[in-house]
Amino acid sequence: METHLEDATPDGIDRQQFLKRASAGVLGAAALTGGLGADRAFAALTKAAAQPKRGGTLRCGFAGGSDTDTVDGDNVVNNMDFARVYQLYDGLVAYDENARVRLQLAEELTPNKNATSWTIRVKPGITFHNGKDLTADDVLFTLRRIVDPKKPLIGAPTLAFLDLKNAKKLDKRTCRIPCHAPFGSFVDTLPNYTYFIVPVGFNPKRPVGTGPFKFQSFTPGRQSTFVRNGDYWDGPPYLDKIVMTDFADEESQINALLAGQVDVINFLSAPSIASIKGGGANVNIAAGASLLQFTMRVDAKPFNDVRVRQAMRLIIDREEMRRIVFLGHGILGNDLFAYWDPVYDHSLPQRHQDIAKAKSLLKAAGQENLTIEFVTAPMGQGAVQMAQVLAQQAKKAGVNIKLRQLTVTNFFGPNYLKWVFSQDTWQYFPYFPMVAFSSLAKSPANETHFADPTYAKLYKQGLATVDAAKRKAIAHEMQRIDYEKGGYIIPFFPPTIDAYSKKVHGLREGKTGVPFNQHNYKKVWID
Amino acid sequence: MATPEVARDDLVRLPASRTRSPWREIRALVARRVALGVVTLFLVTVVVFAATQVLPGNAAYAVLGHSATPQAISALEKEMGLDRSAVSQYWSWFSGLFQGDLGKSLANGEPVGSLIGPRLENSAFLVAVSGAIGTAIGVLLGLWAALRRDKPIDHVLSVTLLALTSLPEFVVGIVLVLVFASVLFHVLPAVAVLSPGQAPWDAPKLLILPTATLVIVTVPYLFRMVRAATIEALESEYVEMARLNGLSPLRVLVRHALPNAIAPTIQVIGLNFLYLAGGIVVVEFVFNYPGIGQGLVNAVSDRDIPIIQFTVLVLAAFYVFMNIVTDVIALLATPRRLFR
Amino acid sequence: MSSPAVATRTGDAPIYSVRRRESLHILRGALKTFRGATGALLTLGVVGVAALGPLLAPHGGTDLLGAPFQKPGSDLPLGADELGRDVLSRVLYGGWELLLVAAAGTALGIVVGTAAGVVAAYVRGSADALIMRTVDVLLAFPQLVFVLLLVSVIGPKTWLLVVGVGLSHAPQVARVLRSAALDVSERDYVKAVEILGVPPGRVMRREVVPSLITPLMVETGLRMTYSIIIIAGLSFVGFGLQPPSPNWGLMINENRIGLTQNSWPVLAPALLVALLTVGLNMLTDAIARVALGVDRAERAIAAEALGAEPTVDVA
Repeated sequence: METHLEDATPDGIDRQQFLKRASAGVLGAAALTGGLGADRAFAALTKAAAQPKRGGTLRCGFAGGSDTDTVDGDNVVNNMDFARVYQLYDGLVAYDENARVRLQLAEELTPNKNATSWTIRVKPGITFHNGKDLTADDVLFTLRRIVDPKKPLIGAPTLAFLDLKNAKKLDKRTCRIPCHAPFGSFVDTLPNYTYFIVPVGFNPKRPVGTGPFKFQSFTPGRQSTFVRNGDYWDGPPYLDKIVMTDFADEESQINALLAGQVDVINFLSAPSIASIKGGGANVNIAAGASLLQFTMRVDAKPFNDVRVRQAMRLIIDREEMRRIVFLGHGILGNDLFAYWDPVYDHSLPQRHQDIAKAKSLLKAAGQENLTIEFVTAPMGQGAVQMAQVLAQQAKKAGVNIKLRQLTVTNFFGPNYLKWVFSQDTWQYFPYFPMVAFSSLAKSPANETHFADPTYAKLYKQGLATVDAAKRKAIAHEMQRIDYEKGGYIIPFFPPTIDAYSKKVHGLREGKTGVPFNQHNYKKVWID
Repeated sequence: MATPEVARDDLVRLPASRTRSPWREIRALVARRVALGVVTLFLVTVVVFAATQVLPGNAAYAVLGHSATPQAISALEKEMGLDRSAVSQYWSWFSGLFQGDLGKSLANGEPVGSLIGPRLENSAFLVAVSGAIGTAIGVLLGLWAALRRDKPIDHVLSVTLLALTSLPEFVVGIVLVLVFASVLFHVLPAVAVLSPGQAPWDAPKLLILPTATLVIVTVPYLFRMVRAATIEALESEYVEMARLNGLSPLRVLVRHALPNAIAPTIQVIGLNFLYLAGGIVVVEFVFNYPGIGQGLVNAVSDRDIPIIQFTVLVLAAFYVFMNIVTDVIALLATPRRLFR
Repeated sequence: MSSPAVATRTGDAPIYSVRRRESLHILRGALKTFRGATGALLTLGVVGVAALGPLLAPHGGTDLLGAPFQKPGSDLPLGADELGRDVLSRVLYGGWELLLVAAAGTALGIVVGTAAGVVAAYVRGSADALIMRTVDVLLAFPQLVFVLLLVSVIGPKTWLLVVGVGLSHAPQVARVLRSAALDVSERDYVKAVEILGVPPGRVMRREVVPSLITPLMVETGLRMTYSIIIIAGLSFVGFGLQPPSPNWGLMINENRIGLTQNSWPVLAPALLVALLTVGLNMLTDAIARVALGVDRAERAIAAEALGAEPTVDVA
């Protein structure tokens, strides 16, 4: 967490930075005239020889949706919901292209000295789609709505620290929220996809937000449409309309793109890259940091012996798996999450395959010629393929992995979080929120059942520390524990692969793993 | 002479009288079949409901997905009424049916009728068009082959169609898409995605490939049936007589042979529509067509019981209905031979 | 609920020849025809590839050898699949499990269906009514839905696929066999044995069923074809046989995405499946033709393939 957040419009180079550079003489007279000239120069910099055009409809063919689709900004469930909510809403903070947390609706988000109270002030002059001004009341309404004990929404557990009952409104745009316990990672928690700001009296059937596009229609499992918000506080988008259609199958997505029936598609697999390029469309491959990790339950045989866990981590040939499943794309992993967080410990030595050491560890643990079941499901691109490669690689160390594939619904059903040796997938989270989410005894997504008391103590300390350097040191200590004793195997961070037709411009990729830089279509235009 | 045969049971019960009008007997037949049909449908819904109870997980897990916590699950289960006993859940759905309330989808809370209605319309249209085109092609080809029996063209047709029959539907669909939409040529749409509210007949171009897939897969059966029935009719004594009496071949064909080939053909046409209704799942998957097959696959995946129940009910009712219709038409087609 | 189906001539012999000594003759006769011989050849050819394949495969079925979707070359004659595994080896390994599951499912369906149909036909009365009403209910399910639901219950386990496929065939088999058994039950030699006081169970096993060899042969051929197509179709929508073991249906699905880079991982198994089903169809055709005569065979197969009930003449 940084105590001083920079304000940046989350779409890459922002105009202020640009104008500063321009006025420093980079582009000479044209830029200095400002106004229209600067606009054109700006556009020229972002896209050679292409001028942003007003108007047009962007047709999206997206995977990850189903009949459980929703447009409720605080109750996002499936991957396609992200696409929708990013058009309708904004959050207090947001990820920028580099997965750094930046202010968005908030003008200020500061803690007190020991992180037991937070002051939030929203920017002035922001209106919702229904014309109403954004005020502190809306912020409190949103947070209270999420943690409502009668109907807690998805993001409720992670906000448990906030004492919303005693939250106070200080003025029209400012409020102060005390905390039950020090909650230093509040800001890092907020850019999560379940904390979008909605107005007082929000009705999910007629959703209203502050986002760049307004709600037009929604049929779950099939299609949703959004229209341009001409009064968007950060500058109105170029597009007139966005149409998002649910697709169940990657091949249909690709066929539709190549046949000209849709303009953008997402969540593609590595083998498709060649076919799409060959078919005349563009492919974005971004080094994201979403997780597609292997999970080992530290409280069940054989992984309750840390040596077996360490052995498993050495059995994997990370480079080979990445080469086969993702054609070499994606960042190599070191069994640590939160890659883009400033506190990530890059100094820990990169692990590679070491069959000899793995074998001796297994022998020491009395688990030579181990036979074990691995549960997999097509939860994301490459998941099942990774499992197959794992099974093959493990043979070299005498480990016999029996694969069991379930449907996604069955995998995340009542037995989820009980599998001994399995996989999981998550969006990018900064370090401390991810720990809260997955690695503490009461975490809602603790696949590995990790519950180390030293680790938990360090976490609490970290939450109470406001000084950035001190927090980093604590985080490094915790990551040491993750590295030596954790139950995750993170061989790499899967790349984000999306594709679009040649007539679409302005699309960028971010590093969080959510397609198209958190589905940012604010500065996108069509020929 | 070719005759349709009623199944043994029914015939045993019919009185052997030539003078009574067939209509009364047909009405009795229909009444009995409808009664049996209703019982069948009831049993079908019970069996399906029982199956959904055995599925691991439920709609609450599906809706909350990856982010389910035990409290959220139990809260949602309560809201969805999934905490009640199986019997009481079934009963409330069943009794709701009689009041015209089809229930609400567990996945998104929308009324079942408004979700399934458009899908049903889309699938029905696809089945109707594929069935009509398939029937026309199958019948014409079958007639033509029957008239050129054992000539080279007959053999070529038979073998080609036999080979086509052996291919799984999705293979045919994929090949068509590769050839006409995405790789070889780009003249037809690769996916048949309708916007909600868009009627399938307003977007005929989208339907070409899915229809072609279904037609290719079903024409061979019709072809064989029509060809065989026509050949048999052509070789019957009745037709021999007509020919010997000097009637022209065309007249023989149309006025004497064809009427006897109609009944079995009608049966096969009806069965063809039934087969289409079942086979539509894979085609809708390949083309992303928003029909009832796609809806059912989604519903099973989401454990959306009200949708599953109603969809299966509709498909089963269609099956029962088509059986009754084809039986009646077949009986009507040869009134003289109805009784002994 | 039965439906009128295939037309027969009045007064003709019933649809299926029921003199059992003829069954072997029928088979031999079928193999002498062009269709029968070709069909048998194709079927045996593909079965041979499936059965002997594992012995001939140059590499393991799960070895990671090349780049994903690598084109055919000297080391990998059919190129590589999505994970860089040898396509030729996987094709050779990938037949027997699919065929075994299809055969087991078919066998289950035939056995259960025959038992139900023969009991219904021979015992008649309330047993008949109960069995046939159950058949109607089961038939009212779209077949794919039935297996889909079943597979969703526990997950795509192999034995479950066998059971699901078998149960989805059983009703139709029951109908066909019931029709044929109805006729057999009235035959003299069966009546003779009854008069001698042989118990019904024995009569059914020793006298009735053996006389149904021909319809059984035809049914088996037809059902086997559908079993293969159903399992391949299920794998396609994601509910069929599971990785990493190679099998043809799964290969078609998992390698679709690289079709434009290396089409062999999809074409090779698809071709084998097609040849097998064509071969089986031809063989079944030939058998039916020899047993029933060409035209009635045509109609019987076409109607039955769509799900009608071929009935015996009332006379």
